[in-house]
Amino acid sequence: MDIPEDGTGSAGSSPAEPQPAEEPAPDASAPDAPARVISAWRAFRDWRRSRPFWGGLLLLLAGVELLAIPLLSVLAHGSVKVVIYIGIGGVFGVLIGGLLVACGLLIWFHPVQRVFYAIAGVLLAVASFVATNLGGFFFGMLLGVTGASLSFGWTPGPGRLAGHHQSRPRPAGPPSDGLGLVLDRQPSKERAAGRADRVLQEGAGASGADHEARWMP
Amino acid sequence: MSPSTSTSADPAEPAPQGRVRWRRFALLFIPAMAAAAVLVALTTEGVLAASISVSGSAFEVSSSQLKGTGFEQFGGVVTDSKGTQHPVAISAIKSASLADLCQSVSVGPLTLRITAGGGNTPATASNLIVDSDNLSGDATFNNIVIGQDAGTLNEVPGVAGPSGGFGQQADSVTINNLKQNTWLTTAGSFTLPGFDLTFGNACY
Repeated sequence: MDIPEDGTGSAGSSPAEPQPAEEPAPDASAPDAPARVISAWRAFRDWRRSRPFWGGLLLLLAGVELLAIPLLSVLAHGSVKVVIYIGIGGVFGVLIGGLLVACGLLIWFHPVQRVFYAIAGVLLAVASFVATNLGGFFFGMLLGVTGASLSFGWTPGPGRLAGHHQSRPRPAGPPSDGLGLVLDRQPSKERAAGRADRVLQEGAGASGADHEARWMP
Repeated sequence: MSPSTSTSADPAEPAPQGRVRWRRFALLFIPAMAAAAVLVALTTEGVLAASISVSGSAFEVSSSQLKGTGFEQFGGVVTDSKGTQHPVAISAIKSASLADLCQSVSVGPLTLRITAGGGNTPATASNLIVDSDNLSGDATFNNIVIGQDAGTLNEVPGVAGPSGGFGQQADSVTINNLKQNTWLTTAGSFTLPGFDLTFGNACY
Protein backbone atom coordinates (compact mmCIF):
# COMPACT_ATOMS: atom_id res chain seq x y z
CA MET A 1 0.00 0.00 0.00
CA ASP A 2 1.57 3.23 -1.07
CA ILE A 3 1.94 6.11 1.28
CA PRO A 4 1.53 9.44 -0.45
CA GLU A 5 4.42 11.76 -0.11
CA ASP A 6 2.46 14.36 1.73
CA GLY A 7 1.64 11.94 4.50
CA THR A 8 -2.10 12.13 4.02
CA GLY A 9 -2.39 8.45 3.34
CA SER A 10 -3.30 5.91 5.95
CA ALA A 11 -4.95 2.51 6.11
CA GLY A 12 -7.56 3.33 3.52
CA SER A 13 -5.25 4.94 1.03
CA SER A 14 -5.65 3.68 -2.47
CA PRO A 15 -3.06 1.19 -3.69
CA ALA A 16 -4.27 1.87 -7.19
CA GLU A 17 -3.09 5.42 -6.89
CA PRO A 18 0.64 5.23 -6.58
CA GLN A 19 1.63 8.70 -5.65
CA PRO A 20 4.59 10.22 -7.44
CA ALA A 21 7.95 10.00 -5.83
CA GLU A 22 9.17 12.81 -3.67
CA GLU A 23 9.53 15.85 -5.81
CA PRO A 24 12.21 18.39 -5.17
CA ALA A 25 10.89 21.62 -3.80
CA PRO A 26 10.90 24.37 -6.39
CA ASP A 27 14.19 26.08 -6.01
CA ALA A 28 14.43 29.74 -6.80
CA SER A 29 17.89 29.32 -8.27
CA ALA A 30 16.89 26.38 -10.50
CA PRO A 31 16.96 26.92 -14.24
CA ASP A 32 13.74 27.53 -16.09
CA ALA A 33 13.31 24.20 -17.82
CA PRO A 34 13.19 21.98 -14.72
CA ALA A 35 10.92 24.47 -13.03
CA ARG A 36 8.57 24.30 -15.98
CA VAL A 37 8.66 20.53 -15.92
CA ILE A 38 7.90 20.54 -12.23
CA SER A 39 5.02 22.93 -12.58
CA ALA A 40 3.62 20.95 -15.49
CA TRP A 41 3.91 17.78 -13.46
CA ARG A 42 2.17 19.46 -10.55
CA ALA A 43 -0.61 20.64 -12.81
CA PHE A 44 -1.01 17.11 -14.11
CA ARG A 45 -0.96 15.76 -10.57
CA ASP A 46 -3.70 18.13 -9.47
CA TRP A 47 -5.71 17.26 -12.54
CA ARG A 48 -5.22 13.58 -11.80
CA ARG A 49 -6.16 13.85 -8.15
CA SER A 50 -9.32 15.74 -8.86
CA ARG A 51 -10.91 12.86 -10.77
CA PRO A 52 -10.92 9.05 -10.71
CA PHE A 53 -7.84 8.93 -12.92
CA TRP A 54 -6.77 5.33 -12.42
CA GLY A 55 -10.26 3.94 -12.82
CA GLY A 56 -10.65 5.81 -16.09
CA LEU A 57 -7.23 4.64 -17.24
CA LEU A 58 -8.07 0.99 -16.56
CA LEU A 59 -11.36 1.33 -18.44
CA LEU A 60 -9.50 2.91 -21.35
CA LEU A 61 -6.97 0.07 -21.44
CA ALA A 62 -9.75 -2.52 -21.26
CA GLY A 63 -11.46 -0.96 -24.28
CA VAL A 64 -8.24 -0.78 -26.26
CA GLU A 65 -7.48 -4.40 -25.51
CA LEU A 66 -10.94 -5.55 -26.59
CA LEU A 67 -10.59 -3.53 -29.79
CA ALA A 68 -7.10 -4.78 -30.51
CA ILE A 69 -7.79 -8.51 -30.57
CA PRO A 70 -10.19 -8.53 -33.52
CA LEU A 71 -8.72 -5.53 -35.31
CA LEU A 72 -4.97 -5.46 -34.78
CA SER A 73 -3.81 -7.49 -37.72
CA VAL A 74 -6.55 -6.09 -39.90
CA LEU A 75 -5.19 -2.62 -39.29
CA ALA A 76 -1.62 -3.79 -39.62
CA HIS A 77 -2.26 -5.51 -42.91
CA GLY A 78 -4.74 -3.03 -44.23
CA SER A 79 -7.22 -5.61 -45.40
CA VAL A 80 -10.54 -4.25 -44.28
CA LYS A 81 -12.32 -6.37 -46.87
CA VAL A 82 -12.00 -9.52 -44.82
CA VAL A 83 -13.68 -7.91 -41.82
CA ILE A 84 -16.94 -7.95 -43.73
CA TYR A 85 -17.10 -11.71 -43.34
CA ILE A 86 -16.75 -11.56 -39.56
CA GLY A 87 -20.33 -10.51 -39.10
CA ILE A 88 -22.00 -9.67 -35.83
CA GLY A 89 -19.26 -11.15 -33.64
CA GLY A 90 -16.74 -8.64 -34.87
CA VAL A 91 -19.26 -5.83 -34.57
CA PHE A 92 -19.82 -6.56 -30.87
CA GLY A 93 -16.10 -6.55 -30.20
CA VAL A 94 -15.71 -3.13 -31.76
CA LEU A 95 -18.87 -1.81 -30.14
CA ILE A 96 -18.01 -2.87 -26.58
CA GLY A 97 -14.38 -1.86 -26.91
CA GLY A 98 -15.30 1.54 -28.28
CA LEU A 99 -17.88 2.17 -25.57
CA LEU A 100 -15.39 1.23 -22.86
CA VAL A 101 -12.88 3.67 -24.30
CA ALA A 102 -15.60 6.31 -24.27
CA CYS A 103 -16.46 5.50 -20.64
CA GLY A 104 -12.82 5.87 -19.62
CA LEU A 105 -12.41 9.19 -21.39
CA LEU A 106 -15.70 10.53 -20.04
CA ILE A 107 -14.70 9.58 -16.49
CA TRP A 108 -11.59 11.68 -17.00
CA PHE A 109 -13.17 14.67 -18.63
CA HIS A 110 -16.62 14.63 -17.08
CA PRO A 111 -16.06 13.08 -13.65
CA VAL A 112 -19.28 14.51 -12.26
CA GLN A 113 -21.19 11.72 -13.98
CA ARG A 114 -18.69 9.05 -12.95
CA VAL A 115 -21.29 6.83 -11.29
CA PHE A 116 -23.26 6.44 -14.50
CA TYR A 117 -20.15 5.84 -16.59
CA ALA A 118 -18.86 3.34 -14.03
CA ILE A 119 -22.10 1.35 -14.08
CA ALA A 120 -22.20 1.40 -17.86
CA GLY A 121 -18.57 0.32 -17.93
CA VAL A 122 -19.06 -2.57 -15.56
CA LEU A 123 -22.05 -3.85 -17.53
CA LEU A 124 -20.10 -3.62 -20.77
CA ALA A 125 -17.10 -5.36 -19.25
CA VAL A 126 -19.17 -8.25 -17.93
CA ALA A 127 -21.07 -8.54 -21.21
CA SER A 128 -17.80 -8.65 -23.10
CA PHE A 129 -17.19 -12.15 -21.78
CA VAL A 130 -19.84 -13.63 -24.03
CA ALA A 131 -19.76 -10.97 -26.73
CA THR A 132 -16.13 -10.69 -27.63
CA ASN A 133 -13.37 -13.24 -27.18
CA LEU A 134 -14.20 -14.28 -23.61
CA GLY A 135 -13.73 -10.72 -22.49
CA GLY A 136 -10.47 -10.29 -24.35
CA PHE A 137 -9.30 -13.61 -22.87
CA PHE A 138 -10.23 -12.35 -19.37
CA PHE A 139 -7.77 -9.44 -19.36
CA GLY A 140 -10.13 -6.86 -20.76
CA MET A 141 -13.01 -7.98 -18.59
CA LEU A 142 -10.95 -7.84 -15.38
CA LEU A 143 -9.45 -4.48 -16.30
CA GLY A 144 -12.89 -3.08 -17.08
CA VAL A 145 -14.56 -4.35 -13.91
CA THR A 146 -11.69 -3.09 -11.74
CA GLY A 147 -11.54 0.27 -13.45
CA ALA A 148 -15.27 0.80 -13.25
CA SER A 149 -15.33 -0.16 -9.57
CA LEU A 150 -12.45 2.21 -8.80
CA SER A 151 -14.32 5.01 -10.53
CA PHE A 152 -17.50 4.10 -8.68
CA GLY A 153 -15.77 4.10 -5.31
CA TRP A 154 -13.90 7.35 -5.89
CA THR A 155 -15.10 10.34 -3.91
CA PRO A 156 -13.98 13.90 -4.45
CA GLY A 157 -12.91 16.57 -2.07
CA PRO A 158 -10.75 16.46 1.02
CA GLY A 159 -11.19 12.97 2.33
CA ARG A 160 -11.43 12.13 5.98
CA LEU A 161 -7.91 10.78 5.77
CA ALA A 162 -6.55 14.20 5.00
CA GLY A 163 -6.96 15.03 8.66
CA HIS A 164 -8.99 18.19 8.22
CA HIS A 165 -12.44 16.81 7.65
CA GLN A 166 -14.85 19.68 7.86
CA SER A 167 -18.58 19.53 8.04
CA ARG A 168 -20.61 21.79 5.83
CA PRO A 169 -20.72 25.28 7.35
CA ARG A 170 -24.09 26.19 8.78
CA PRO A 171 -25.83 28.98 6.97
CA ALA A 172 -25.36 32.27 8.75
CA GLY A 173 -28.28 34.35 9.85
CA PRO A 174 -31.61 33.52 11.41
CA PRO A 175 -33.63 30.49 10.33
CA SER A 176 -35.93 30.99 7.46
CA ASP A 177 -39.51 32.09 7.90
CA GLY A 178 -40.65 28.62 6.94
CA LEU A 179 -40.05 27.28 10.45
CA GLY A 180 -42.01 30.10 12.00
CA LEU A 181 -44.85 29.50 9.60
CA VAL A 182 -44.98 25.86 10.60
CA LEU A 183 -44.79 26.55 14.32
CA ASP A 184 -47.03 29.50 15.05
CA ARG A 185 -47.37 31.56 11.90
CA GLN A 186 -45.55 34.34 13.66
CA PRO A 187 -43.15 36.31 11.51
CA SER A 188 -39.69 35.50 12.69
CA LYS A 189 -38.56 39.08 13.17
CA GLU A 190 -41.33 39.84 15.63
CA ARG A 191 -40.88 36.55 17.41
CA ALA A 192 -37.17 37.04 17.80
CA ALA A 193 -37.74 40.50 19.17
CA GLY A 194 -40.35 39.21 21.61
CA ARG A 195 -38.07 36.41 22.72
CA ALA A 196 -35.20 38.80 23.28
CA ASP A 197 -37.50 40.92 25.42
CA ARG A 198 -38.55 37.94 27.49
CA VAL A 199 -34.95 36.89 27.99
CA LEU A 200 -34.09 40.36 29.12
CA GLN A 201 -37.03 40.41 31.55
CA GLU A 202 -36.72 36.94 32.99
CA GLY A 203 -32.98 36.52 33.01
CA ALA A 204 -30.67 33.99 31.47
CA GLY A 205 -32.46 31.00 32.97
CA ALA A 206 -35.62 31.63 31.00
CA SER A 207 -34.54 29.96 27.84
CA GLY A 208 -36.44 26.80 28.76
CA ALA A 209 -39.59 28.74 29.43
CA ASP A 210 -39.05 30.54 26.21
CA HIS A 211 -38.84 27.25 24.42
CA GLU A 212 -42.07 26.07 26.02
CA ALA A 213 -43.73 29.33 25.28
CA ARG A 214 -43.11 28.81 21.62
CA TRP A 215 -44.95 25.52 21.72
CA MET A 216 -47.73 26.56 24.14
CA PRO A 217 -48.43 30.18 23.56
CA MET B 1 -3.04 10.02 10.71
CA SER B 2 -0.58 12.35 12.30
CA PRO B 3 -1.49 15.99 11.90
CA SER B 4 2.16 16.99 12.00
CA THR B 5 2.88 15.24 8.71
CA SER B 6 -0.41 16.08 7.08
CA THR B 7 0.61 19.62 6.43
CA SER B 8 0.73 19.83 2.70
CA ALA B 9 4.08 20.29 1.05
CA ASP B 10 2.62 22.94 -1.21
CA PRO B 11 0.06 25.01 0.65
CA ALA B 12 -0.36 27.23 -2.40
CA GLU B 13 -2.32 24.51 -4.20
CA PRO B 14 -5.64 23.73 -2.58
CA ALA B 15 -6.60 21.30 -5.33
CA PRO B 16 -9.29 18.90 -4.18
CA GLN B 17 -7.84 15.48 -3.70
CA GLY B 18 -10.23 12.63 -4.08
CA ARG B 19 -9.75 9.12 -2.95
CA VAL B 20 -11.26 5.70 -3.41
CA ARG B 21 -13.59 4.47 -0.72
CA TRP B 22 -13.10 0.75 -0.70
CA ARG B 23 -16.57 -0.03 0.55
CA ARG B 24 -18.04 1.73 -2.44
CA PHE B 25 -15.50 -0.07 -4.62
CA ALA B 26 -16.65 -3.42 -3.25
CA LEU B 27 -20.28 -2.42 -3.71
CA LEU B 28 -19.78 -2.58 -7.48
CA PHE B 29 -16.79 -4.91 -7.74
CA ILE B 30 -18.20 -7.90 -5.86
CA PRO B 31 -21.54 -8.13 -7.72
CA ALA B 32 -19.75 -7.65 -11.03
CA MET B 33 -17.30 -10.42 -10.33
CA ALA B 34 -20.17 -12.63 -9.17
CA ALA B 35 -21.98 -12.00 -12.45
CA ALA B 36 -18.78 -12.72 -14.36
CA ALA B 37 -18.33 -15.95 -12.42
CA VAL B 38 -21.86 -17.00 -13.35
CA LEU B 39 -21.13 -16.32 -17.02
CA VAL B 40 -17.89 -18.31 -16.82
CA ALA B 41 -19.73 -21.19 -15.16
CA LEU B 42 -22.47 -21.17 -17.79
CA THR B 43 -19.85 -21.17 -20.52
CA THR B 44 -18.07 -24.07 -18.87
CA GLU B 45 -21.35 -25.97 -18.81
CA GLY B 46 -21.75 -25.34 -22.50
CA VAL B 47 -25.00 -23.46 -21.99
CA LEU B 48 -23.78 -20.08 -23.15
CA ALA B 49 -22.08 -19.45 -26.44
CA ALA B 50 -19.04 -17.23 -26.50
CA SER B 51 -18.35 -15.12 -29.53
CA ILE B 52 -14.78 -15.42 -30.71
CA SER B 53 -13.25 -13.12 -33.26
CA VAL B 54 -9.49 -13.08 -33.42
CA SER B 55 -7.15 -11.74 -36.02
CA GLY B 56 -3.49 -12.43 -36.26
CA SER B 57 -1.22 -15.19 -37.34
CA ALA B 58 -0.59 -16.27 -33.78
CA PHE B 59 -3.99 -17.90 -33.45
CA GLU B 60 -4.08 -21.68 -33.81
CA VAL B 61 -6.98 -24.09 -33.65
CA SER B 62 -6.81 -27.82 -33.49
CA SER B 63 -9.41 -30.51 -33.03
CA SER B 64 -9.34 -34.26 -33.20
CA GLN B 65 -12.55 -34.33 -35.22
CA LEU B 66 -14.70 -31.64 -36.76
CA LYS B 67 -18.17 -32.52 -38.01
CA GLY B 68 -19.90 -29.73 -39.83
CA THR B 69 -23.05 -29.16 -41.82
CA GLY B 70 -23.05 -26.52 -44.48
CA PHE B 71 -19.55 -25.95 -45.76
CA GLU B 72 -18.24 -23.31 -48.12
CA GLN B 73 -14.76 -22.53 -49.20
CA PHE B 74 -13.47 -19.96 -51.58
CA GLY B 75 -10.19 -18.36 -52.33
CA GLY B 76 -9.34 -14.80 -51.73
CA VAL B 77 -6.46 -12.48 -52.11
CA VAL B 78 -5.50 -10.13 -49.33
CA THR B 79 -3.25 -7.20 -50.07
CA ASP B 80 -1.24 -6.06 -47.11
CA SER B 81 -0.05 -2.54 -46.45
CA LYS B 82 3.21 -3.16 -48.32
CA GLY B 83 1.33 -4.13 -51.44
CA THR B 84 2.17 -7.81 -51.20
CA GLN B 85 -0.67 -10.10 -52.14
CA HIS B 86 -1.39 -13.11 -49.99
CA PRO B 87 -3.66 -15.92 -51.14
CA VAL B 88 -5.97 -17.04 -48.39
CA ALA B 89 -8.65 -19.66 -48.19
CA ILE B 90 -11.84 -18.54 -46.55
CA SER B 91 -13.79 -21.41 -45.06
CA ALA B 92 -17.25 -21.06 -43.60
CA ILE B 93 -19.19 -23.70 -41.71
CA LYS B 94 -22.78 -23.13 -40.67
CA SER B 95 -22.65 -25.37 -37.64
CA ALA B 96 -19.90 -27.62 -36.44
CA SER B 97 -19.07 -29.84 -33.51
CA LEU B 98 -15.45 -30.06 -32.52
CA ALA B 99 -14.06 -32.80 -30.31
CA ASP B 100 -11.03 -31.96 -28.18
CA LEU B 101 -11.01 -28.38 -29.31
CA CYS B 102 -7.85 -26.47 -28.57
CA GLN B 103 -7.30 -22.81 -29.32
CA SER B 104 -4.10 -20.97 -28.53
CA VAL B 105 -3.33 -17.34 -28.96
CA SER B 106 0.00 -15.64 -28.40
CA VAL B 107 -0.05 -12.20 -26.86
CA GLY B 108 3.50 -11.00 -26.67
CA PRO B 109 5.50 -13.46 -24.59
CA LEU B 110 2.39 -15.11 -23.20
CA THR B 111 0.61 -17.98 -24.85
CA LEU B 112 -2.95 -18.50 -23.81
CA ARG B 113 -4.43 -21.90 -24.39
CA ILE B 114 -8.12 -22.72 -24.29
CA THR B 115 -9.27 -26.29 -24.35
CA ALA B 116 -12.84 -27.46 -24.43
CA GLY B 117 -15.01 -30.26 -25.66
CA GLY B 118 -13.09 -33.16 -24.26
CA GLY B 119 -14.80 -36.42 -23.45
CA ASN B 120 -18.25 -37.07 -24.82
CA THR B 121 -19.45 -33.49 -25.14
CA PRO B 122 -17.82 -31.78 -28.09
CA ALA B 123 -17.63 -28.03 -28.40
CA THR B 124 -19.94 -26.55 -30.98
CA ALA B 125 -19.52 -23.57 -33.23
CA SER B 126 -22.01 -21.77 -35.40
CA ASN B 127 -21.27 -19.50 -38.33
CA LEU B 128 -17.62 -20.37 -38.06
CA ILE B 129 -15.58 -18.34 -40.49
CA VAL B 130 -11.88 -18.87 -40.92
CA ASP B 131 -9.47 -17.02 -43.12
CA SER B 132 -6.49 -19.25 -43.06
CA ASP B 133 -3.36 -19.87 -45.02
CA ASN B 134 -2.82 -23.28 -43.54
CA LEU B 135 -5.67 -25.68 -42.95
CA SER B 136 -4.74 -29.31 -42.74
CA GLY B 137 -6.53 -32.49 -41.84
CA ASP B 138 -8.19 -35.56 -43.33
CA ALA B 139 -11.40 -34.28 -44.82
CA THR B 140 -14.49 -36.08 -46.08
CA PHE B 141 -17.17 -34.13 -47.92
CA ASN B 142 -20.74 -35.10 -48.77
CA ASN B 143 -22.42 -33.75 -51.90
CA ILE B 144 -19.55 -31.50 -52.70
CA VAL B 145 -19.74 -29.10 -55.60
CA ILE B 146 -16.30 -28.08 -56.78
CA GLY B 147 -15.74 -25.19 -59.08
CA GLN B 148 -18.88 -23.27 -58.36
CA ASP B 149 -18.86 -19.53 -58.83
CA ALA B 150 -17.88 -18.16 -55.42
CA GLY B 151 -20.57 -15.50 -55.65
CA THR B 152 -23.33 -18.10 -55.77
CA LEU B 153 -22.36 -20.12 -52.72
CA ASN B 154 -25.38 -20.60 -50.48
CA GLU B 155 -24.64 -23.26 -47.89
CA VAL B 156 -23.89 -20.69 -45.20
CA PRO B 157 -26.47 -17.91 -45.22
CA GLY B 158 -24.98 -14.49 -45.70
CA VAL B 159 -21.53 -15.60 -46.70
CA ALA B 160 -20.46 -15.64 -50.32
CA GLY B 161 -17.26 -14.94 -52.09
CA PRO B 162 -16.46 -12.54 -54.89
CA SER B 163 -18.42 -13.42 -58.00
CA GLY B 164 -16.32 -14.95 -60.67
CA GLY B 165 -14.00 -16.49 -58.15
CA PHE B 166 -13.40 -20.15 -57.56
CA GLY B 167 -15.52 -21.73 -54.86
CA GLN B 168 -16.73 -25.03 -53.56
CA GLN B 169 -19.39 -26.09 -51.15
CA ALA B 170 -20.70 -29.23 -49.53
CA ASP B 171 -23.69 -30.32 -47.49
CA SER B 172 -21.55 -31.72 -44.72
CA VAL B 173 -17.93 -32.18 -43.91
CA THR B 174 -15.89 -34.27 -41.51
CA ILE B 175 -12.31 -33.34 -40.84
CA ASN B 176 -10.14 -35.55 -38.68
CA ASN B 177 -7.02 -34.18 -36.97
CA LEU B 178 -7.81 -30.64 -37.91
CA LYS B 179 -4.95 -28.20 -37.61
CA GLN B 180 -5.43 -24.66 -38.69
CA ASN B 181 -3.20 -21.65 -38.57
CA THR B 182 -5.09 -18.48 -39.28
CA TRP B 183 -3.48 -15.75 -41.21
CA LEU B 184 -6.17 -13.23 -40.57
CA THR B 185 -9.38 -13.91 -38.85
CA THR B 186 -11.30 -16.56 -37.06
CA ALA B 187 -14.80 -15.72 -36.04
CA GLY B 188 -17.69 -17.68 -34.73
CA SER B 189 -19.97 -18.35 -31.84
CA PHE B 190 -18.64 -21.18 -29.71
CA THR B 191 -20.12 -23.20 -26.90
CA LEU B 192 -17.24 -24.46 -24.83
CA PRO B 193 -18.19 -27.30 -22.47
CA GLY B 194 -15.41 -28.20 -20.09
CA PHE B 195 -13.83 -24.86 -20.87
CA ASP B 196 -10.33 -24.53 -19.49
CA LEU B 197 -7.94 -21.63 -19.89
CA THR B 198 -4.28 -22.01 -19.10
CA PHE B 199 -1.01 -20.32 -19.86
CA GLY B 200 1.39 -22.60 -21.53
CA ASN B 201 2.28 -24.12 -24.82
CA ALA B 202 0.60 -23.71 -28.14
CA CYS B 203 -1.80 -26.36 -29.36
CA TYR B 204 0.59 -27.97 -31.83
